[in-house]
Amino acid sequence: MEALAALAQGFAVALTPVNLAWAFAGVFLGTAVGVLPGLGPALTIALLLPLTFSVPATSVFILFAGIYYGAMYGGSTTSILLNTPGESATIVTALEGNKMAKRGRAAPALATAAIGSFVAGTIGTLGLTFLAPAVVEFALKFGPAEYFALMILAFVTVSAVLGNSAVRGLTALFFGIWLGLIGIDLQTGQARFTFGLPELTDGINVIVVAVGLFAVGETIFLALHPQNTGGQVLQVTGSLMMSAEDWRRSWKAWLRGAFIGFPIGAMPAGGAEVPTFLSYYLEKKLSKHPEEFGSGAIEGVAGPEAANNASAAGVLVPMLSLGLPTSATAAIMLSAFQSYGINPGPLLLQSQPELVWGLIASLYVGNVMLLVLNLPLVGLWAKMLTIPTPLLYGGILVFATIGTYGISQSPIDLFLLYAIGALGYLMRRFDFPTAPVIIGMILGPLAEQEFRRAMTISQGDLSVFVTHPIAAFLLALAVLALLGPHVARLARRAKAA
Amino acid sequence: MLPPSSHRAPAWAETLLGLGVLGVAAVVGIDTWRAPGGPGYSQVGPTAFPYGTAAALAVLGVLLTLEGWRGGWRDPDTEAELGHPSWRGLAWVALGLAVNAALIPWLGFILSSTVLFACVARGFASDRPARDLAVGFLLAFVAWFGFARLLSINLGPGLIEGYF
Repeated sequence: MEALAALAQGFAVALTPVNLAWAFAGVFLGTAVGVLPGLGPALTIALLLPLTFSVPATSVFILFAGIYYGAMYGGSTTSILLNTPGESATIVTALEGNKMAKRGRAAPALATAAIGSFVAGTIGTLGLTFLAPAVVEFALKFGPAEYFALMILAFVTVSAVLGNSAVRGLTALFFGIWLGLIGIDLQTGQARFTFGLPELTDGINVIVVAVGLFAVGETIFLALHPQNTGGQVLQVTGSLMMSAEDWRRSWKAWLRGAFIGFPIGAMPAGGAEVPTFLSYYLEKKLSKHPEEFGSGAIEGVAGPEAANNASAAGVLVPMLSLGLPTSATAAIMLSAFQSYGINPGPLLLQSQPELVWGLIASLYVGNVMLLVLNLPLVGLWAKMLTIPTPLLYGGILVFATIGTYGISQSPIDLFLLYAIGALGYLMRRFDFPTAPVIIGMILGPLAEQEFRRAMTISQGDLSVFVTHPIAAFLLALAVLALLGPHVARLARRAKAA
Repeated sequence: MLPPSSHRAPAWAETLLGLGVLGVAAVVGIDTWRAPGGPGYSQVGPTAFPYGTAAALAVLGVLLTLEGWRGGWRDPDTEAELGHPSWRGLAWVALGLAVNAALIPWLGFILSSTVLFACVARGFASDRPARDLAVGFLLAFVAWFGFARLLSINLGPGLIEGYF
């Protein structure tokens, strides 16, 4: 029960007026960016990274975590009312949620999403509270070889396993790794890929890459293909109360969603999309009303919404206990840690208990705030959806300028931002995932560091990756995840021939 | 999974993109090869990961080029939904971005962002430039005040920033 004592300390940090204010700002902002199409938590946290220079670490992470959780709530509102998923993790919510709204049942759909998010977010945060210290115990045994193997596994799963194409995912990943290598190599002082430009010696800032890919790329895409904007915002009518029938059909779906979402989020694979799809299919299978699926079944909203919030909590487990980000948002949070000179990893819980437990406690608090924000205030969020598209994207680019120009007041950063924005457009247009770029950029240099440490210890002997059982196991998993589907396909083809 | 597609016509855009990735691989490899040896000593030098990255990008570039040559990977239905590209929209957005980057050191963040905002809004088919300039100015001012004054993030000097 050490975790409970530590958590009590965390609440003492999270409940100070200043940190409550930061948590509120975070969940409010998070809900807003979750609601607005084109803005997401990764982009918002990237834009706010300069805060790390002027605000204490604990407050900043409470803010960021609030944004992260809030966006999960807000995204569902957009999915239900506009049928345009606000976030990739709420694609499934749009399937049933928007159908419910079209039949005049927007209010119960929003309510089951918000309450389910609260239930699952709280279960997920409980999971984080008890699992993170346990993972730390285990991870203290890890040496550089094990870390390197774990990072390789994460690289493979985030780029090759999730998503439409392993080749395109890996291309995005290696491009990101290359971006991460640009600048002075800290171990030898060697400049890499600076092309003679002094601006590049410190490396490319992750803000520029994240904002370029997510904000500028998206804006260019929608300016060129305006058919993809807009859509009709459905009205919320009637009371937000769910009927007894709605409750009866929702609560099991919430719990099942939470227990699917949290473990999948906590695995080194991460990702909030997979658990939402799994939950959807499970609910469809278990439902007593399978015929309603496709025309607005409440379980199809309750389960996936719970799953995506629980997985958001799950992603924080490898992030806080291993320093391993498995989503673009987590990768940008990791770079915020780096900007404070803090290395997330097993020692973080011991060296920064106030920060970690304050952060975890604020997640409980944030969840309560979000429930209050999202139920009675849902009308306000629905109004945000009626902001005219020209003003929305004009505003997004103004904030993109702040995030980038605030780094060093250099127009060169702005040109780099636009170049990466053009690339982001191409990636969107040709179906390349963008999250692996960010993850590769942040995690690539860390993987290189662990690899070199492992080689220094073993005096250049590569066999450590095979002789250390944990490292060998993790690498074998990575190879299996990468090649397994191809081998299976070849086997099938050979059988058919 | 698409059916075996050797009979489909090459998709030029995808093929070019694959060649582009090969080009990036070449830049990464050549730049690493030309870099002088570092002064430090370690078991694994500063070139190992760059060479690995170049090799991986080269393999992926070949795979993408082949896939493009055999008909590409884009889904025709999604393509049809995109409709005709609006070059006018792109031109306005690009103009806004270029003006912003060129003028921000002289005009300052607030005025430069106002122009950017109005241009982007125009690119998204707004026909009310006066409203866009007004809203843009208000937003840029509030954002500047919040970030530069309340959160002390340096957004540089400008024509009107000094008065607040």
